[in-house]
Amino acid sequence: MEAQNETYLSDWLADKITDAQLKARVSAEDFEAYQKIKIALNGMEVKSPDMVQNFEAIQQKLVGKTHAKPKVVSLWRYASIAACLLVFMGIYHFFIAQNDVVTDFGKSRVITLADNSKVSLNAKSTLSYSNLFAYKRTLQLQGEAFFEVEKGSPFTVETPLGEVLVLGTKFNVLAVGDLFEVKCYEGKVKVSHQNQSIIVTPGESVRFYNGTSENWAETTTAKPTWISGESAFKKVPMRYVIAQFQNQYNVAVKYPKHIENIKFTGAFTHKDANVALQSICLPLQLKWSKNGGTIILSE
Amino acid sequence: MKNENQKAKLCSEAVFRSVFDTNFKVLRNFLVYKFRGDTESAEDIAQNAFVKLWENCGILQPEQAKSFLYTTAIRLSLNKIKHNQVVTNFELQFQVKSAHKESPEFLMEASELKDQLERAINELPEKQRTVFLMNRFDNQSYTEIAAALDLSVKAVEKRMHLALLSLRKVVKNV
Repeated sequence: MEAQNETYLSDWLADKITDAQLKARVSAEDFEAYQKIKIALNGMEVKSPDMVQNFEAIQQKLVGKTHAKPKVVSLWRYASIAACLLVFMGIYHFFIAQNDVVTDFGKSRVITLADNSKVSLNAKSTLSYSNLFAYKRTLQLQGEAFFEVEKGSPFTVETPLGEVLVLGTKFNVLAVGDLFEVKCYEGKVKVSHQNQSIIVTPGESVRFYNGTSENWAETTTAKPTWISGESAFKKVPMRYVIAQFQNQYNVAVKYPKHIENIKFTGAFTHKDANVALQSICLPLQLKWSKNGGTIILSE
Repeated sequence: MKNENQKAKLCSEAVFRSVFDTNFKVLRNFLVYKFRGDTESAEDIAQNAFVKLWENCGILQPEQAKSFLYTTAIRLSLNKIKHNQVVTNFELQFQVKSAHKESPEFLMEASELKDQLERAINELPEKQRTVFLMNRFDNQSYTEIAAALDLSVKAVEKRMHLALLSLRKVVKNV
């Protein structure tokens, strides 16, 4: 009977149901008791407060208090936070953010930089430069790239092995493993490696590896051969030739340990793996076989 | 512009005075019922709630004033209780309205019933007691109570019902 949702007593107290309606729901004794409680409560109260005294007390407490400022102020705060964020994003974008260009196996890319200099990036190479490149011409290279530099402020190519500083020229940089090779096609470049620095003029190449350096001159083409789909080598240790082959064709190559330092002079195409293998193997009288995805060289 | 006017209204002395006149007594009584405190500290807290209302009159709509006062007063009371580590085990003290002090017989019977009711009300759960006394002593409608305490009207009605059921048990042998 005393279910949780019953409210007939509150309805009766609020005159929503009549005395008769309540009598129908409860016993006569109960009704009499409710009636008594209702009347008794009507005659009781808590002592009333002194309104004048209380209002004066509030006014006393209000001396020196100020109103809370409207929320418009905090909106300004949000606006300034947003503005600060924008400035930081701007600074990040223009001064700190780096652009990375990465090429995959067998792919090459041509990038035009902010100063109109062109970079041709060979397979499996990474080039990074900041958004500030137009103001400070410095970029980072891992792998191989050919540069056609517009005249202007010093242009620096940084590699893990050394840097190349130029004023406006065309040159090729190869920095793979511990092989660092720079070939100049036009203008003049200054190559620094560890404590040595060498000035390279058109047609000249310089190579550092294994703690030695060598430079040579040749009648050159206008551009490196790899740009036109061919890798050419002049007295390059076999392991770099094979590494270049792996970068172009994305295959694993196994070879006898003792051939890795044999100097190779020649070229291979980027278009046909079998022709390329022939170009590499014939001069050295090597044989090759395929085992699954792996190419095995043997004598 | 309409908003501006309303803000100005709550911040004006005259409107603040009228909010005080309509709400101070019931707010102070609410605190007495809820915390069974003495009227003096209830008045102090109610005053402080009005001070907070005045400080925030610029960012409150007039219709928010009542609910703001109750919420603030509850928060201030809890702070005070926590701060002073006071256990509020006061008993509510009721008085008989002067209009009913007519015949000595009535006074006799009424005072006996009054004592029993007073005890029973003191023992009611806090939620039932507060709602019940706001309605019975301060003549606030269920809708008004629901708005002030942020409750549904149905919840207020249930509390009223349960409170009267409990009181009935205590005064059975009258």
